[in-house]
Amino acid sequence: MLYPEPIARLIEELTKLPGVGPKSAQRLAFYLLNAPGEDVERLLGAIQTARERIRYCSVCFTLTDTDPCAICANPDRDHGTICVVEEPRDVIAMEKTREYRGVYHVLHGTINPMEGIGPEELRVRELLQRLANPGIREVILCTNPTTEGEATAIYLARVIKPLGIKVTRIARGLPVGGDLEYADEVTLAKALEGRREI
Amino acid sequence: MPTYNAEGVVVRVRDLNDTDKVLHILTREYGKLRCVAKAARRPKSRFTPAAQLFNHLQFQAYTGRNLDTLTQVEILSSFPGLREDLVRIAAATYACELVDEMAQERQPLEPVFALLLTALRLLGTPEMPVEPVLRGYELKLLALMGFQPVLTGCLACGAPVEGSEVYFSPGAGGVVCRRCAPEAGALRVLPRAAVEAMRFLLEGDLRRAHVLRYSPEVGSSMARALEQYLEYRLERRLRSLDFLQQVMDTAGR
Repeated sequence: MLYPEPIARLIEELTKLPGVGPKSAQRLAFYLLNAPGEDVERLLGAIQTARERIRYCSVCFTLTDTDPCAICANPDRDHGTICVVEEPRDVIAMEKTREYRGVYHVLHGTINPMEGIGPEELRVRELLQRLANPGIREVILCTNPTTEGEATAIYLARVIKPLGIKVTRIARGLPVGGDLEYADEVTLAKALEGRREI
Repeated sequence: MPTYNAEGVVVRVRDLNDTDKVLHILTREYGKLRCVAKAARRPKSRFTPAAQLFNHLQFQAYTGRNLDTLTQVEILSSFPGLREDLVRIAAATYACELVDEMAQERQPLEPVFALLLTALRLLGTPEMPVEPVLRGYELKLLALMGFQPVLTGCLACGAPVEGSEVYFSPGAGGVVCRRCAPEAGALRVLPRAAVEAMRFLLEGDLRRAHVLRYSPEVGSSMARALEQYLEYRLERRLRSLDFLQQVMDTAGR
């Protein structure tokens, strides 16, 4: 490497970030070197604060800076409905709909037998502990419609149903702005299956 | 870069990077291939629905130095019956991992493809019992790969199988008579009925596997013997096996 050692090290560290190759790392490094001092300070501060203050909510296991998280602590939300999702970013996606008033539970992954990930590796035990609360009326399974997501949903339905709690699965169908002609057969069949009277 | 058309089943899916996935596809024409499905981790990619485990695909790809790249894909069947029952999902995952582990890349072997397709169809049929289909699949796959267990007579001296209990050597892959047993190393004792059932499954049609009737003891001793033999051959334990056993136990099948 022709760069002076500190720049070479910065580039090397930046290359470790997801989606950043050597060229982008080089660009970022030079930007950081030339950026105003306070910008770089703020970035460093932001990384440090996020690392120090963000942890998992002890109730729903999403990422939060308060424990329990803002959603779990909110008395206006329906604590009798739990939406089960794979990752913390799925909570954000659901929140953007502004439709959902219940609370969440983040599994942190899906059952993937080929990778050796079973229910024990996910936050399933914690979910079942929450369901011991008699106030819970419904569990909505919002795992992704992939083979692994479906397997996880079926597994959860099997362990939750005997507890006498209503278990529902999120619907599958066509995306808004989609095109029927280009929809794949599986999605189209599911969309037809879930059709509704208007 | 040469393009080609092929028909195949997705036997493994893993993430390549933030946007792409790698599919291990067992094809009818070219054996096992590893193909990149570009942007398959994004929701709107045309490859996203196809890049799911168990899918039976017709596709076009071009050959790369290491991995091939998908250019067009059509789903022939997604085996919906396989995706609605936990035991069947686990069994099909195991079937896929087993063939992914045993098949060599770019070694065409059409009977293996046909066997996998038949097994997935049967596992996706609700009234078809899972266990005999899996045992038959394991035995036939072993035979096609050149590891057919010897079940007709002692593998050392050829003496016919006798008595109600039979010695089975997972290391040597077959039954051993009482006289040769001391020299055969580690052995399992199997009920005679288990050996008979394995012979039926090995020689018969997989689609007729469900007519076989046997006791739970015979079933579990067959499963353990094949598990050990496969582990010996593959030199490792398949990861999906633990989950399969877990859901089979809780489902009581």
